[in-house]
Amino acid sequence: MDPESGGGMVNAGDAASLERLRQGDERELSRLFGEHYPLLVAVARRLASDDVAEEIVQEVFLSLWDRRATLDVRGSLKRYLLSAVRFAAASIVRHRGMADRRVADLVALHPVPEPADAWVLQREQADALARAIAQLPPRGREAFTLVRLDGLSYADAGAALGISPRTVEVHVGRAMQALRRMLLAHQG
Amino acid sequence: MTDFTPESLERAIEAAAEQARRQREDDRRMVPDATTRFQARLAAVRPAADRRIPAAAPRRLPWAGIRPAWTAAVAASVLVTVMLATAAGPERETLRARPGARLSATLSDGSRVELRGGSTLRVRMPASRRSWRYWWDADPAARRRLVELEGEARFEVVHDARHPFRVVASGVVVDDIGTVFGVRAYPTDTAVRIVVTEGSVAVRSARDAIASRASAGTTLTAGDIARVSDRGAIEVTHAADADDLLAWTGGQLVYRNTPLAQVLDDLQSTFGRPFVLEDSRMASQAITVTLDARRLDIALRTLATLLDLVPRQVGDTLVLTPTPHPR
Repeated sequence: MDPESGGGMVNAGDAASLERLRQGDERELSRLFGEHYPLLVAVARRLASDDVAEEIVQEVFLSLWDRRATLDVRGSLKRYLLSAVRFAAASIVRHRGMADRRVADLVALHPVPEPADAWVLQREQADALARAIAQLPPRGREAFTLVRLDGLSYADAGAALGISPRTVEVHVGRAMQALRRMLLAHQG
Repeated sequence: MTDFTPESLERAIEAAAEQARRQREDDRRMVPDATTRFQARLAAVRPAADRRIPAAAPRRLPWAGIRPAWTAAVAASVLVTVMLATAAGPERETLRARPGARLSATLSDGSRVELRGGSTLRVRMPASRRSWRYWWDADPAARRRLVELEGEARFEVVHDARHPFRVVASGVVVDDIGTVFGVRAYPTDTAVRIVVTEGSVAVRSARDAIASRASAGTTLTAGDIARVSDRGAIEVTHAADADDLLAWTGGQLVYRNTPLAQVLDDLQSTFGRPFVLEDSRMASQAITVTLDARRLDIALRTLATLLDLVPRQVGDTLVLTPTPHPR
């Protein structure tokens, strides 16, 4: 299904990148940071919160740099970075404690406020959906938002969540069922 | 409670995905800034001994192995050439600051602009002096530097009498006379507000400006604050702390004895999200506080702590509820 998911081979571009990192090439590190930033910061927002997302991505690349000599990347570098986001997010959330997240969560749920006219029409439904998504169990919410909203493949979402692509699929399916139960139940 | 059909649920999910895609586009635009911040952090956390310049690649035939840096340089010079070639006509550009973000820009005439969150600025600069168009357009209006503002901005204008700088916002015209000033005209505002911190500006309603009435408008100097109603009435006050009104350019929102309702309106303009007080009696309470203009979560926390409120999210709206005190 996904050409990158098979086998433990590192693709040629990634291998060249890693080699340059091992030689201490900072420009390559910056280039990789820029290349992966949009995806990783989106995932970090979902796994932690808006206000620490960029810091998480920075941590991932700082640690990549620190460990460049002994780096063992199996599969694609992208998947490696996605799972690194998970660890960095968990560590920051642990550090800051959950109390801090409450206010941050309010913000993270709608990371980009829309101009008024754009959402005024579907606003009620968007609100209801956002509330329902917030009520999903954490795993289901993460899998659902990463796959259905952020458009990650099951394999990429699996790397970010530390579970198999198949399990991601199951979580997304269950989340979808739960949303239908919550939102369609009032009919009839 | 909102009722969904299976179709409308799919549409709502698609709309949420669309929002995530737009966020991703914003993030892509932020890559250069984010990379710079990362490099700064890398330089800060890493021991100096660790800094190593990579060994130069072996020289190859010219052009055979163009290094990325070279490619970028060549591309940049091509870009500059293209820009010079197209600089013949008036330059137009649109600057947008998304809600909660602030945008600093230097316009092509060297003037500096700080754009507050949720604001749009359309810029039209006159044709380049080197182009035939510049000499062709005898109309002085064509030599005017014109910006149209929706939202709030602070301008630091490089004065140039031959190319007057004009701000148009919600039917109000502000002409620069060598100045640092702020203009505020969010769509939700009932009046346009102009604050001058250096130099002076002339303020007129657009109607007067179009009619070219003899009056040069109302002249404001440093420390003046003007409010122009939608009927064109101009009310000028003088305040020693006029600078506070532009504190957002330094990432702060400064309020002195300001009614809470007004503070919340301002937060709404800044962050693009509605704020509601559960206890409406608090609306008239005057507060003095400095809030973070860049981070909604931090601003919210400061405000909540000060007033003993708990922020709660209902849809997109932030509801501020008094903290329940167990007795």
